[in-house]
Parts: sequence; structure tokens; C-alpha cells
Amino acid sequence: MKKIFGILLIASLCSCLKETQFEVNGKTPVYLGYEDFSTLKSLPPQPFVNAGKIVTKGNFIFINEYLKGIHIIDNSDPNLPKNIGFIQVLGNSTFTIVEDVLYADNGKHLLLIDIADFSNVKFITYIKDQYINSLEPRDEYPKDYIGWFECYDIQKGILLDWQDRKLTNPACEKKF
Amino acid sequence: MKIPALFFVLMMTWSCSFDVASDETDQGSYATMLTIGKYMYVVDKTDLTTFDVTNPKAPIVVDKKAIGFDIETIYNYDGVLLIGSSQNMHIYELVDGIPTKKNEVPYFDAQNTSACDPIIAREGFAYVTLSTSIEGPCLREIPINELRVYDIKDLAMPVLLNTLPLTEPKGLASDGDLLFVCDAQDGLYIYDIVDKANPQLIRQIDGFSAYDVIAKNGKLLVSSTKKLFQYDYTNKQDIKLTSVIDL
Repeated sequence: MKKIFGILLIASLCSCLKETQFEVNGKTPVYLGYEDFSTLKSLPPQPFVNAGKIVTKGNFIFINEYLKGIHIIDNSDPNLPKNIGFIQVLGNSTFTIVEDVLYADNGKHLLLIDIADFSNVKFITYIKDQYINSLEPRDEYPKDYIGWFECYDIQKGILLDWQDRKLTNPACEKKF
Repeated sequence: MKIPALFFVLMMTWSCSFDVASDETDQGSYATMLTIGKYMYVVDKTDLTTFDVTNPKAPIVVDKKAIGFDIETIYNYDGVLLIGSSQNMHIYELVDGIPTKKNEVPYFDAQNTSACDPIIAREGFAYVTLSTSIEGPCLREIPINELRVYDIKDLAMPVLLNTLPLTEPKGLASDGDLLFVCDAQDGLYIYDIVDKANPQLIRQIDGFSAYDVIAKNGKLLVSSTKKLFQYDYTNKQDIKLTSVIDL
């Protein structure tokens, strides 16, 4: 009996050790759901941070701000172009304009936005899963931070921000 | 006399809204969606979707096909779609607006990993920038950064005519006898293409990282990550900077 009890005690100790969790204070992504269009709106002119694709229509130039939205430039006088506004479409990387409808992706869906009034753009509808085959994993890191964090999962949504959280067995770490 | 003046003032203020709905939409070479007539063509990583946008607020899917992998860009070459992927240039003719595959031109024999490889074309010639790497011997990555010129007069048999090495080429555009090529490290290359098969470098504007470009009616727009440059190219001997937006 003593031998069996001893073996059982050792076995249960071993399994306890295996289940020890690694807990640490870190960061976790704050997601915006792909079907949440509440942040789709006109904003005042924004700085260029990571400008890319260009589209022109009449006297206006539209430039993608990677993953943030689209700048609107009034180019009526090319000697003095004016940054007049911004259409916030979080997750956006590509777009086109058909008449006064902006077609813009949010990473997963293709959104339709009425841009007849630049200062008051309006969400119309979306083409679901247009970019589902393009949803490839993308590394994202919290800025100005060294430590553990929960990895960004592109399937869960658009990355809005990072928040502090106590993490259990996190898989991602920023070492420098 | 008062009424015409008032009318004039009203017209001027009203024109600040988006009354250019009927104006043509022009796009840089990194476009992934474009419209021809009543059809809009959209590429994602694997598919080409055709929408009827007679009512732009209510698009209708009329065709969708899987066309390959790593599909990146789409260009309208006089009603023929040139679709760029990391591996190939795909050529689709439009039959009553519906894309039908004509050809697929591989860039390399080997597999390559790549960022976007945009294509433009005119008058029987296609210009492609490749900024990628291919797997060499002993799994070494060999960087490839170049401008390629293809003869596409016969879409069934495109022929590679010329390859010009660059540093990190990006978007490109062409108008008249000029070809403009962006480079992420070297800025903007301007070539004379009087001889379409043999671009001759006439000017390089450096000091910035150029991404994409649109050339139309003597006006060149070049996007850089934090700036937008405009140039006047009506006189190719004297291409002038018109303005810079820098915010």
C-alpha cells in the first residue's frame, strides 16, 4: 500500500509541475470587428504617415493611408494643392471610385461609401468576404514596448489598439 | 445685373462639392480594382470578380473566377486586362465585359517571393517593374530589381525585349514619349520611350522614396510615404516641380 501511495504522490506532483502557468503583465490587441462600421466617417485633414495608392477624379486626388483610410486633396490649383479631408476606413489598403461611390476594402469586406459630400461620407453597404482569400497573417507589435504580448490574429478583426492585460502563456514577445 | 452675379457666386460655391461624379477615375499602377463602362473588375489574392455597376450603389456580381495565386494588380490596356501577380502577367480579353483568359506569362523559371509587381502597357508594349528575390543555389535569395519591357502585339505570344536593372522599383506610368518609374530608394526615373522597346533614361529625381505615379495631360503625381509631388512634363526637356504636399 505504501509503495502505491508513494507512486501516486510522485505522479500527482509531476502533473502539477507540468500545469504551472507562465503569467506575466503584458499587452493584448483591441479588435474592431470587420462588420463594425461605426468608425467609418469623415475626419479633418490628417498627416501623411504611410501614403500609397493614388486615384484621381476631376480636380481631386485621393491617396490611401495604409490601414487607416483615404486622404482627399483638392488639386484645382496644382501649384497649391490642399489637403482638405480624410475618409476613415480602418483596415483599408485599396480602393476605387465609381461616380460618387467609394469602394474601399477593410481587409476582409469591400465597403461602399457615399462620398457626394466629403465632409459627411455615409456607409451604404458592403460586399461580404470579398477579400477572405487575402486575409494572410500579419505581424503587429505594440509601439514603444518591450515585453510579452498576445499575438495579433488577423482573422479576429482590425487592430485598433493595444491594452494592458495579465497574460497566461503568451506566445509573442518583443525583445528589443 | 445683380441676378447674374448672384448666380455666378452660387455656381462657384456649389462646385466645391463632389460634382465630378461624371469625371473619369484615373489610377496608379497599384490599382486592384477598375471600371470599364458599366463593369468593375476587382482582384484579390486569388480571384477576379466582375461586377455590373450600372447602379454603383447596388453592384451585381456577373462573373467570378479563380485566376491564380498572389494576384496583386490590374491594368486596363485598351479593354484587355493585364493582371500582375508575383509569378506571372495574366492576360484577359473581355467578351461582352466578361474576362476570358488569353495568356499567362511567367516572369521566372523559379519560384519567387515578391511584393507587388505592377504592369502598364501601351501600343503593343508592356512595362513591368519587378522587385523580388528568387531562390538561388544553396537556398540563397537572389534579389531581382528591374524594369522589363515586353512586346505584346500578339497577346498569345508576348516576347521579353529588354531588362533594365534598378534598385527597388515600384509603380510606373506612361504618357506620350515618356515613361515614369518610381523607386523606393532612388526616387523617380524618367525615360524617353520614342523607341518603345528601348527606354532611354533622361532624368533621375532623387532624394525621396517614390511609390506610385499617375501621368495625365502633362501633370505627374508621385506619391511618397509622407509627401505628394506634382511635376509638369509638358516639355520633356524641362520637367518642372509644380508643388509638394508635405504634412
